[in-house]
Amino acid sequence: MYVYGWMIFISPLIGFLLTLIIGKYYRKWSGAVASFFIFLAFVFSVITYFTVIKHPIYNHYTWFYNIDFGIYIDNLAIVMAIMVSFVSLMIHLFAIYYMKDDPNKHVYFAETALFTAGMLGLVISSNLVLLFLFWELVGLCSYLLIGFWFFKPNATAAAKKAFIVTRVGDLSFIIGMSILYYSLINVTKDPLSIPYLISNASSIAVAIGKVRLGIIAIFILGAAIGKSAQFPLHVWIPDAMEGPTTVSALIHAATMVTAGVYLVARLFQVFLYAAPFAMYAVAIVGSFTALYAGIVGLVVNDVKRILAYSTISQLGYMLAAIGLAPIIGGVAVSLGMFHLVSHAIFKALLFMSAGAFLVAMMDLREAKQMGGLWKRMPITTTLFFIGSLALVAFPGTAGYFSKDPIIFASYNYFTSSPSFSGFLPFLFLITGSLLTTLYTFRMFFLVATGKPRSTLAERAKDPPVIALLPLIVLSIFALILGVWQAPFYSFVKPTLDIAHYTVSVPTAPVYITTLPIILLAIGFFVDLYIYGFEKWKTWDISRTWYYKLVKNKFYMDVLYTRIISERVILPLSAAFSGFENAYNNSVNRFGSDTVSTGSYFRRLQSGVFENYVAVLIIAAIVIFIVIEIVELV
Amino acid sequence: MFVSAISFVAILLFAIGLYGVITSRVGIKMLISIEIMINSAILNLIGIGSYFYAGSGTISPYVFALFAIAIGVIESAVGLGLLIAVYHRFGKIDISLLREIRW
Amino acid sequence: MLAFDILIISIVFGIATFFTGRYAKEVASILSGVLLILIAAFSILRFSSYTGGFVSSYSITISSSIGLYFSVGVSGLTDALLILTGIVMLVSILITGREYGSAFFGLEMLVEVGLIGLLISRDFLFFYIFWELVLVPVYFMIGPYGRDNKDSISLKFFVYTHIGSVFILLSIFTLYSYSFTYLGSYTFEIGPLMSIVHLLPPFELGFVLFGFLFGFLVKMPSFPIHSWLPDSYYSAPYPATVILAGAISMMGGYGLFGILMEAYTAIPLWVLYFLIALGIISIIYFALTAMFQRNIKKMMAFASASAMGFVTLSFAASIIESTGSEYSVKLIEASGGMFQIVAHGLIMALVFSALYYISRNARTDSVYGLGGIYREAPMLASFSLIGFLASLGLPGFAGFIGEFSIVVGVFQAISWYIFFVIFGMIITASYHIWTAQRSLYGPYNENLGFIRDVRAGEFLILIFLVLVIFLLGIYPNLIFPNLVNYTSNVFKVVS
Repeated sequence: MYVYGWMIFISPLIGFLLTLIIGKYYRKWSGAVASFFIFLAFVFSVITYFTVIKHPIYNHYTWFYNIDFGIYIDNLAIVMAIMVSFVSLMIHLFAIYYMKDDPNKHVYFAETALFTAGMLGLVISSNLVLLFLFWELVGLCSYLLIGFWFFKPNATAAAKKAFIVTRVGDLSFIIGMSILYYSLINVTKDPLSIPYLISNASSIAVAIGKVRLGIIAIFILGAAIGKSAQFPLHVWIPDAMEGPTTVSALIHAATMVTAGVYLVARLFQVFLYAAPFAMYAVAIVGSFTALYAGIVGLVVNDVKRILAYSTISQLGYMLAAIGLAPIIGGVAVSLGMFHLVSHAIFKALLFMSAGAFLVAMMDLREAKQMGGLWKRMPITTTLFFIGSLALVAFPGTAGYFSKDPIIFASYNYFTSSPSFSGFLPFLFLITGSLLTTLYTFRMFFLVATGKPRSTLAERAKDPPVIALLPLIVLSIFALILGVWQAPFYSFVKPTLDIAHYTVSVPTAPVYITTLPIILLAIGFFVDLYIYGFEKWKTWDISRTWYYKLVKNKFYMDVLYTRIISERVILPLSAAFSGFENAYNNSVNRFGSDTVSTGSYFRRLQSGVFENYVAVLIIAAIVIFIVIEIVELV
Repeated sequence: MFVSAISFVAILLFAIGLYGVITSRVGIKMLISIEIMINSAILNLIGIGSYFYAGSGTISPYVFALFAIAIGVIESAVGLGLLIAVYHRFGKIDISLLREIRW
Repeated sequence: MLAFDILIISIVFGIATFFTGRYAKEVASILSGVLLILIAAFSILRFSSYTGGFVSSYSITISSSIGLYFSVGVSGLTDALLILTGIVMLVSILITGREYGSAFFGLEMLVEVGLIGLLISRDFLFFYIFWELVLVPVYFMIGPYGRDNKDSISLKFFVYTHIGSVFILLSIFTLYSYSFTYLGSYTFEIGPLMSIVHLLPPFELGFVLFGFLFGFLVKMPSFPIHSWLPDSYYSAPYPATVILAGAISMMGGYGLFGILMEAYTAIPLWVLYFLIALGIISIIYFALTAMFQRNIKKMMAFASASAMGFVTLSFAASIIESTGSEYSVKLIEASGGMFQIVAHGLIMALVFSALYYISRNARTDSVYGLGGIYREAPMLASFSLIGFLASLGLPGFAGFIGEFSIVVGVFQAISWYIFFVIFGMIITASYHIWTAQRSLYGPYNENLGFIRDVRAGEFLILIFLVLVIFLLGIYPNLIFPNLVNYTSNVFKVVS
């Protein structure tokens, strides 16, 4: 009965091994093999769904000492598993076209299969340590895949940056686990098991104190910040766009970066019963990132980087949604997860259609070199447009049903606790939605409308329709996903006591519900004026201070690269290394000095016999006298 | 006479032997001088020991002296062997030629 | 009885290898393979159901009036370290090229004899004899076969570690001289002598503890008595570096956990905090120094020392920590430290083996001399990457289990100073990934010409190590329960 649950992540793992072995000899089939096993994972997820709707699955064994490994699948996990396997399957199918000319594509498909196995394992794992293992495994696959074109120095540098920045988040996770372990070791047999944590969160809070639980929650939030690229650990995602576009779609839009949000949702009860600052931190980090990434995304010209900043921003929305829980109750998790699922679908769609553009543009990512592609690549552009509509939450699309309730909920949050700190999430999120519209339509108009601004753009052609089938499937979902909004909310609910639990879709007064739509219209017309009618060509604001500030990403990258690593860490390391050299030399000198003192003493051996006899006699006399004196005394 | 007479003779002999060792370069002469020193010690031993010997059951000086004589013989044999090797090497037995083992 | 037989067999093999002439490599490989199989069989037979204490005890009386017995015994910790020794020695023999000659192989086998002897002996004098026995072959390996100042550096290695060992000898004799007073008869056995440590008068107690700690910390190595490390690792030929990193550092860890921990009640609190400070300083100091190195071999030498800092930290922290009701942070801390010794030895064997092949095929081992070798030698580059990832503690490999167990338990002892440990781990991750990116990936450094990839035999050695490290990483329960049972027996704590 548990087999189907285990097979959810074992089948892509087998897919990884088989793709590696088979792909060495039959390179053409590597994509199909990998996709088949992802399809199996999807099938197993659906089968497990029918078991999970009755009761969660929990099956575990001892790993080492008192840490277990096993699977724990409840509603939240199964929804995530189905989404991950489905989106991964669509992206694999598209990647068969996208990577068709790459000589190393068997390595690519093996690594993405391994990644999917890791992601699914993360979703269904039952113990925090096991989750951490899969957490690092997906980080490793991200490192390998960003640096997939290993001969490009930009790619390898980006991979290194991604690994190190996410490692900071991972170490925060370890600290949180350490404090949790030591707090709970006298209370329970397996302190780090997830079902135990989420079902006993209130009694844990009583046992170890809300403040300590809050500190643990902050460290876990730190891990989520690293993995989901929230401020201030967001700097790795824009550089990660150096990898193949399907990698960006899979890892940096739909699945790996959502792992951070999933972690917070998984341990929701821990956050809820901790001191209030934990939840508030989640809300503030999420909403601030939504705003920050939106601002920076406005001035970026690389198509994939615009989408990357958009991803960071939307992840902020998800985290902020979960952070609003103290006021709106358990439905906060449902809000965040629904936006996660719908975002995964339309962001994957956007990235893959951008990938189709890039195949035509021979990987030239500059939006200012594209243009007029809607005439030359109509199908792709339509799909791209559908994705954009979903992203800006055009009424009726999936984005509307997933993003706007979060804004309404933040408004309710503000009205329930009217203070400046309560107003901030709402302010950030609503401004973020205006910014979303601005950068999305800017990107669309630059890419699709106007005259082509390069020869590559002139000669662009649509990819074969069969390659675009996965995108068409995703676009259909992007349009109709709103239908499942209410059933989703009632399905993905955390187990809480009645006092904290509500299931209704957040509502707000009419002037708030229409506000996003008004902002959408404003943004559209502004962009239409500037980019649709190509007024941007006559502007030049690149010398202004605010442009430079935003263009340099508020100097965050400068802070990390130039100041922290070049001016602090490297001199520190040079100082230690210099000290080590000096210390080593002093030890060597001590040794050689000792040897040279010997050179004084060895002159006693003069080789002259008479000297020896003289010394002998004198020594005998001295000893004789000493003995006599001692005897006398 | 009193006991210390023999000691006096022994010390005299010892001094003669010591003088011979220090002030000569000829190997045989040094060996003979060392032999004189050993014999003087044995003489001293027998002289004083026979005065204080308390019968069987205690340490007998004569046995001790026999051991010492034997050791003196062995030492002379070894020394003579060394001197023969030196003679083979240098053709002379001048001790001041042996200066190679030095710092 | 069985452990003693393994020792005798290893002595015979060791001496025989010197006389094998042209076929030395094959003979040595087969002999050390046989030893590994014997050790593995012994472990499976005697340790499948282990509940603490010593197994396979055997004792030959040499002179009971002065208390000299040759007694052997194997505990959970010793068994894990025996397996580590067998694997590391086998790997180092397998990667040694044929051109080193039968003397070199004989020296390697002698090192194995010394290590097996010191691990199984339960009598201090023979422990010390085997401890010193390990140094001599290593000296002869670095001296003639090394590079760059090899003569003076091999002498430095020998003298430096020997000074530490002399302090151990003095402590042993101090304990011996008191054994009559407290035990009723003179004895050199480890168990009884360690049990009287806390009865010693203060000055002797301090001296004994200082002697043991000094000797063991020199071997690990720990800051500030580590100066023999960078030069010796750098100058030694690669097979000797594998032995140094995999097996010699294990000796120091074994001294702490296997010998000194039996007298844990006698160690004053300030000494424990001092050891914790030394451990944390070691981790950070070696990590920062490694970051600045431009030669990968030297960098990995410092990485090895940094990983052993965790062992010192866990030893002291586990003694400080309090026991719990059912499970205990003490046990996971100590077991994590012991596991880290094993994992570190295997991982360093992998890293230095892969580095050996790189330096032999590309004729350089400096970071800036290499570059993008993944294009020419993808399998070799992948193995190096796996080695680096395992060394920085990536989950899925054995290094994570050790470091995680140590860090997860250490919060109780040092609370917010844990941030220093985390800082060290960040620096560790940084320089490993920087090295991997610079030397393995990126544009190919055309100055290197043609690089040969690993051959079938070399591939098998590397994949064997990777599989062992991976297996220990995902199923640490192969040796973890033995370590936990051993620790709980020493601490007399119910687990």
